[in-house]
Amino acid sequence: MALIIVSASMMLMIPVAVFMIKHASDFALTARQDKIIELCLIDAENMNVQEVNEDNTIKFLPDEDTASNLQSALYTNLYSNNLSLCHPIVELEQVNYVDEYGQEFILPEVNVRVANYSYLPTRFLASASRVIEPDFLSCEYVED
Amino acid sequence: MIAFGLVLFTVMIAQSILLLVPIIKRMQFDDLCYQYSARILRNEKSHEQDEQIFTNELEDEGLLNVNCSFQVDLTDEPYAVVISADYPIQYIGSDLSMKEVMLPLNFKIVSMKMENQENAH
Repeated sequence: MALIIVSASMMLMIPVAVFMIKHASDFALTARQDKIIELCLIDAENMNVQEVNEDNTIKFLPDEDTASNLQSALYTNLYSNNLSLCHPIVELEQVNYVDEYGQEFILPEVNVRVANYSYLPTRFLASASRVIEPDFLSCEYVED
Repeated sequence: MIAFGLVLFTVMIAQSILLLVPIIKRMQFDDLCYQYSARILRNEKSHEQDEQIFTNELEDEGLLNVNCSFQVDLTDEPYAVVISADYPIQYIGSDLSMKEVMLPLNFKIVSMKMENQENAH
């Protein structure tokens, strides 16, 4: 009887141990991806530039070229941190932003998802998005 | 037989815990690296003092052979942040004795500025 109990508990322990280690490793992997994505988004915020077009309208960056650079930097960062099975996808969207003075702006939003090819079918473990605000939105108006 | 089963059971539990330690240590290491990297990417200042503080902080966490370099000028060095360290992990060997191996931990971050420079060339 005791032998059956010990054997059964051991047989139960093996999948439990494998399950625990697998989930802890997935959790660690997602946490690592999240941190690298966050660093790339901080870097993207530093790009924070705007261009004035010929018709005096303001073009906000990042544009598609910047998104491509961001994807490339993110890929390098994932690869150099031994996350080579992860592939980043960077997409840009436009969002409406109304500042505290009621003025409306269209700002770019960077959406990042990381596909993980170590799973079949491919899973997206980490994702993040950030609205890139130009510098002047963080400045306060000064009354004359 | 029951005693053998119990010993094996204890060894498996201990081994599982020992295998989880490097994962937790890796997350701690990444968290510290992330904090310093975020600070470096936000502020473009001299980082010599930061390097020393960071090295001491990692050594306090039990890491060995800590080597870190924070770059502001990315013309020569492609990486903005390069950190490497070793962590001594222990596991139970096949002869049931404790064995120690060095787990290498690396963290490298490029900046988009570098990607821009490469594209410009």
